[in-house]
Amino acid sequence: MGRDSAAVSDPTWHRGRGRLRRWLAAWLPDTDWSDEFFEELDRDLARRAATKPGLGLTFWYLRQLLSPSTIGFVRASRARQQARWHAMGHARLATGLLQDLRQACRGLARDPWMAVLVVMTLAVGIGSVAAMVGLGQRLFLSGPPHVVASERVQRVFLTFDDAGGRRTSAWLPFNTAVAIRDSVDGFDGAAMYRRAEELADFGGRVRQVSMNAVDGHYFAVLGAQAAAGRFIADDDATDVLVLSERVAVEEFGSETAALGQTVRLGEYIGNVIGVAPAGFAGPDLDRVDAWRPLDVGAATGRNWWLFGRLAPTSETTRATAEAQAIHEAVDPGQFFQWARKGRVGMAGVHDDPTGERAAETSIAALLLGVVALVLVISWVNVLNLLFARVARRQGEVLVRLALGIGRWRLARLMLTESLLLSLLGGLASLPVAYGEGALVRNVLLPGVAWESAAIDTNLMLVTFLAVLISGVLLGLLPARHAHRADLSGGLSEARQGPSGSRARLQTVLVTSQIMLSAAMLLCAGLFVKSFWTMRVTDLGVDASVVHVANLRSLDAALGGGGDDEEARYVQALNALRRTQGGGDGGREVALAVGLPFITNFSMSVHVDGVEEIPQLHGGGPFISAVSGGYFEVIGTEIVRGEGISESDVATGARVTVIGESTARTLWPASDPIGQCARIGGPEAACYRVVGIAEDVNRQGYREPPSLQFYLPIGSSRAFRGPSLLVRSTRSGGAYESALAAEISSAVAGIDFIEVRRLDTFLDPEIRPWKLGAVMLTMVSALAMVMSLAGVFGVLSYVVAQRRREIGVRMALGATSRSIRGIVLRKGLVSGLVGVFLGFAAVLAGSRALAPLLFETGVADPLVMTTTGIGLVMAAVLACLLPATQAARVDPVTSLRAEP
Amino acid sequence: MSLGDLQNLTILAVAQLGPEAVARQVRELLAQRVGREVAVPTIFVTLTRLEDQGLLKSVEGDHPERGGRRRRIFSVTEKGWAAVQATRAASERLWEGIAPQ
Repeated sequence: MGRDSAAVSDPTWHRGRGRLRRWLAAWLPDTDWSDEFFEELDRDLARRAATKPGLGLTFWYLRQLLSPSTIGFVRASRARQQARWHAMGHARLATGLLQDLRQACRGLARDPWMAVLVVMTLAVGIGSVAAMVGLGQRLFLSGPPHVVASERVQRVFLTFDDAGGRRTSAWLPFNTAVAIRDSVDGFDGAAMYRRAEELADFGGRVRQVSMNAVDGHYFAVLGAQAAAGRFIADDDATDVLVLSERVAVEEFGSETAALGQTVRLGEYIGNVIGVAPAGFAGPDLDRVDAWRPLDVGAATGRNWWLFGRLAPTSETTRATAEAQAIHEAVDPGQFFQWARKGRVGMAGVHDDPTGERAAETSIAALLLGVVALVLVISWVNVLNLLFARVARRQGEVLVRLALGIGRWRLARLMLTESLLLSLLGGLASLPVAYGEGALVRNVLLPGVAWESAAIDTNLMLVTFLAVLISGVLLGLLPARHAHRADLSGGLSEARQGPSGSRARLQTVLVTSQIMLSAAMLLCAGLFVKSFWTMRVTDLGVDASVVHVANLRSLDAALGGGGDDEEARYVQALNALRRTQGGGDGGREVALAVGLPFITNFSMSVHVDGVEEIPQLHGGGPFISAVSGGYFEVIGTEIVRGEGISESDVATGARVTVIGESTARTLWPASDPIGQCARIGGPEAACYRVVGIAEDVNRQGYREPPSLQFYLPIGSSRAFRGPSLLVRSTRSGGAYESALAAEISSAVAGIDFIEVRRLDTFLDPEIRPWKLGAVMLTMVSALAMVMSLAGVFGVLSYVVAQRRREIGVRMALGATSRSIRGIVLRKGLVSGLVGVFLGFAAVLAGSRALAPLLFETGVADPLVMTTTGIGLVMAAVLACLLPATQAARVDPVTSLRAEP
Repeated sequence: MSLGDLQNLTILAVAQLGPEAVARQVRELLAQRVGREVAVPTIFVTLTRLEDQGLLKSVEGDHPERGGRRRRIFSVTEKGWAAVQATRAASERLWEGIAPQ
């Protein structure tokens, strides 16, 4: 016992013994007396090891001490267990599977880092795919929620071909919309609606809601069913209202509690007759909070959106032709003659109201493709790791085969292992999917009506499928390899390193990984550049430092206080001017009617001596009525002359400031300053041009120049409903609510204040690029890290396998430097080839990619150079450690280590 | 049934040890009384095979030592007795008529 304890006190002994035990356990079936066997073996080894003091009691030494009969025992135990399984008959398979599972767990536990790497890689791949499928499902895979057979629902719009190219408009004049709705035989039914933001009063709680005014066919054509109560029907009186599930629950506690309640929506008062199911937004993507019947009296003077359901026997082309014929026959009315130039078009509901495929949809489809690539990369990566592992376990596989394990059983074992890994990866992917889903929903697509939570049964199903596919795919190759393992050949290979074919396969795998991530990184770079180009586009206004305050009162909305409203704004303006310098060192405030990106007013403009003023592709003439200081506040530069001053407003001077393009178009030959523009028609008063301002984008980022006029506010009674502008470099929710609080305390009779930065009105336009840039960058960065981990893993493995060869080279006179060069070259070549192929793939797909980019070419030299150099450098970095390891190989040790 | 030498000795050792017939004791007895050093796995294999052949049977024992593991306690079956006796008889028949050297 004394000698035993001498050995047992040696820490090397403990380690070696533990390893030995695990080594044996991997082969030995878990029989009822393997424990006793180990204990005896332990005692015996301790005794024998202690008789040879001075020798390190390492695993290898202990293993040498094992007699050949150990193997005999292991083999006998296995035979015994197999006999028992035979005896058990039916229970055999189940026990076998359980056994496999236990073995697989043990196998993974022996290689924990590999297992963690594989699980994480799979988690990212599977999680991203699941999240994007969730996104794609809402945007383009399945139709709008709760719409029956949405592929038969077609939007109707007008297209205009003019010198500036094709332009589409979702707006149809009332007469045209009604005629098409009621007379197209190709439709089973059609409905018209329009969307507006309204102030809603829920028994004292005031909030802004997104409201659709719909006709009586709207819900019937969509085929939706109410979650509670009923929907608006054709014969409904104009005092009914349908709420969304979200608003009903938030305001009244439950869907049924909302029924029968009275809600004021702007000037409209309605009783809630129904609640829409969660996620229902009609044919649109964006959230809708309430639906009210359209008011026929006011409807005729407005434009409408129209959609129809194709009759079972009808086709889009037939319905379009019929609608076109009706459009040509119907008089759109006095103010809608512009519509006559348009042709009727139709498109499915996945497209946005203008009939163009929504950019979100295209980018979501791209993202889905990209994350599918990520999954492929993660598979390739995992395959690499598994191959390296199979090679490392060659000895073990051979021992198993020598012990009489069936080849099929061995393959099954490998398959079990990969299924287990995929399952763990699938579990770990759920938080990834949830995180990515939540990011997309809350940050990138906040306005979209989501039907379900970020993780739902569909997502679980996708995850499960991905797990199954991953498990089988990743198990089959190594299993096939194991199945074909050849005792004699395998033994020599295990000693000499990977055979040519497998080394080639690994190189191909690594190169293809780099290729895929190069392609993704390039796409990401292009999107980032598009996004950036968009952000720095000169809009003519400083949209990122201007806040727009929207002051609203229910009384004004009821039509009682047009003048009140003006007065309130002036009061707020003065209050803010009084506190100037209070918070942020000189506050600049102004009022305007007609703001870029929010409201555009158009009137006819007449210039004496010109029959009809020319039109510009950007539209217009857009007219804004502004207070003094407007140009300074909003950041529009006056290029000549002067802006609208306080005294102009006070005296009601008939002066105007025009845009640069306007000046060039209307007075190409003469000096515009001092000229006269009749705003409102040939008989209107003459406004003298006093200044020229730089051109301003009126609708969004991409836009040709338009005709633009600025008048002093109050000079024309036509311009009502001003906005309050505050210029401040401060922003964020806290600043905006502080500003709102300050205004509401200074101004009486305000029920609702919303302060928003001007550029947030552009968000819907920039959203797809933001989505693309953020998601692509994130996902491709993940892919790059995965690929580099793959490069690193494979090269480390190759170095480990070729240790002996490197030793021989060094013994023959190779320097550390040249050895390092060999490894680095291998990585560099893979990197360069991968980057080249990846870029080539992107360029090949440029036709599909180009429309998704904003003023950025697919072959953008800056983006290409940056991503290319970055990726190659990262690949070299990933090779550096294996290269250094290789250079440090000691020829003496490496040659002695191998038999 | 004819038994190998080690099998024969193992059955006899199990019989000798009675309720203490666990793998370790069998191995130690063989070492002390017969002077035969048997490797650990060998004794396990032998005991397992004898049990498979129905010459020995085993039960899960209590903890013979404080803190020790549960051990398998072997005993000789009828068939086992018959086998050792047959081996002994065979051996004795051959010994008959051999003059002691």
